[in-house]
Amino acid sequence: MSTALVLVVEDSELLQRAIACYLETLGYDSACVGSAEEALASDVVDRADLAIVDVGLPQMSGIELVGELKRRRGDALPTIVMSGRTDTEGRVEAFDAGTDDFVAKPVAFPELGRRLAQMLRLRDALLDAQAARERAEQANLYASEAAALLAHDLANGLAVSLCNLEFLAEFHAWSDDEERDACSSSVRALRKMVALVNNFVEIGQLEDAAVVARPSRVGLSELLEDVAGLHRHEAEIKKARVEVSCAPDLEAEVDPVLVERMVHNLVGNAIRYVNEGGAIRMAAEVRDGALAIEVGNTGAPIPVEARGRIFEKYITSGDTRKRRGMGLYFCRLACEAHGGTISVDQRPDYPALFTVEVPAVANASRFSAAAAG
Amino acid sequence: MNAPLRQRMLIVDDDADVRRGLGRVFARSEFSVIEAPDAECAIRVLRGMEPHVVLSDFQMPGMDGIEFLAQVRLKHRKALRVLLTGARDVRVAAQALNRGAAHRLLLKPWDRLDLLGIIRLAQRCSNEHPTARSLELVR
Repeated sequence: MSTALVLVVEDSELLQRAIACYLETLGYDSACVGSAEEALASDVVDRADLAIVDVGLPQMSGIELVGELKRRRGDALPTIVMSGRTDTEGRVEAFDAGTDDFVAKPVAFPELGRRLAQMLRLRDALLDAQAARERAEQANLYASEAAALLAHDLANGLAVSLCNLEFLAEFHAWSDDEERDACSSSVRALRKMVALVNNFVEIGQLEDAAVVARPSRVGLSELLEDVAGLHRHEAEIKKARVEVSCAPDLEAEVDPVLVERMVHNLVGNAIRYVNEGGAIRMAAEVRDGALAIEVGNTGAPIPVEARGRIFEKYITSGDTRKRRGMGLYFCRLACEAHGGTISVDQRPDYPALFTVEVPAVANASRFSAAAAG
Repeated sequence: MNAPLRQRMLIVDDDADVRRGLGRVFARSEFSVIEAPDAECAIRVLRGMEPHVVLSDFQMPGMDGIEFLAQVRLKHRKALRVLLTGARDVRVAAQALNRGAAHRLLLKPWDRLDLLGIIRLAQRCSNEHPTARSLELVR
């Protein structure tokens, strides 16, 4: 490791020499100047590892110099101010200017040496932490970019497979139910993969605030029925019912894509945890001028201690060891993009009940009337 | 009585499977589908064709889909222009929509309902297409 270089700014030549000698005994290099102007004109300012600055300099004061050094080098150049003015106000003024430490004049050299060593240790730790953070950010950037590229390339393959299978499902003359079922179950599996890829891509964009909610008038009844339709077959496998409760003419100003994906995720989650022969209820209504969407199921309630964490990245509402979900995290981001909230609760009829509330209703009274009708 | 007019559609995508997959679906909906692997080829095709619908991918080698559709807009103003794009490029694509290069976006992987929506819109536009009407009279 190279020897630390200490910039000493002191107008007394005698003290300059004494400090330089002392620093040499500690194994540091030093560069001494007699004024702030001289210091700022020197390239040492850009190379020094630490600066010791006297307050009482001939023209620009040591306090001003510290401010300037901090503007130029920030935390990379720790400073120690020396001053004969040791009252609280004097010290506070030096710290307000940005100095990292303060020693009283006449200088007790052993104290200066220890403070200096401490400052350099802190500086090294800080620089190491900054470098580690930059490396982590860079790695994160690469990972995000690689993941986004992967998602992008997956999209083409998924699009083609899904398109062709849906085409077959619609137009092929199947000879028996087994063949038809093989095709439709592949379609469902692909749709799930599509939803996963879309969640993944949009989570990245929502996190970067690159995706904002683009509200338009949405018919909630139709939206809920569409999503229910996509999930009914899966629910039937668990002999569960999917019920929709929504006024037929309820409308709200929300982002249709984000809200549909959010409901889709909540229903997918409900089907995963609903009990055999149970029920999933989807409902929408206007409450106090906000749109409330509920998705509940008759399965086991979500443990109270887990409720605060399930909207975090990679956590599921069930066994956290499985760690498979980004769906609820997506729901939270999509809600936040609308300025809304999502919560989970327990009710006697629906022990696991998710509620989304978005204040995205253009004309609450009109929609309230619609909801009531 | 005149036979129903098949609406002409151009699909531009460098992925042949995407072109064929989409082409099959549109062909079933009475579209006469022509495929092109890139914008330059598509422009050559358009010299001899008045399309009702042009569906183009965004990311392609050479000219991208937005620039291509902007050119289509100049010469084939009545054609419905649809931009096909991955979710990753959705911001750029949305800008294209706002600037008027495309009428609609179709996101990859597309939803069957989205595709049906595009087909219905294309059919509606085609029926109102002045070129289509005049051709019908000639027949």
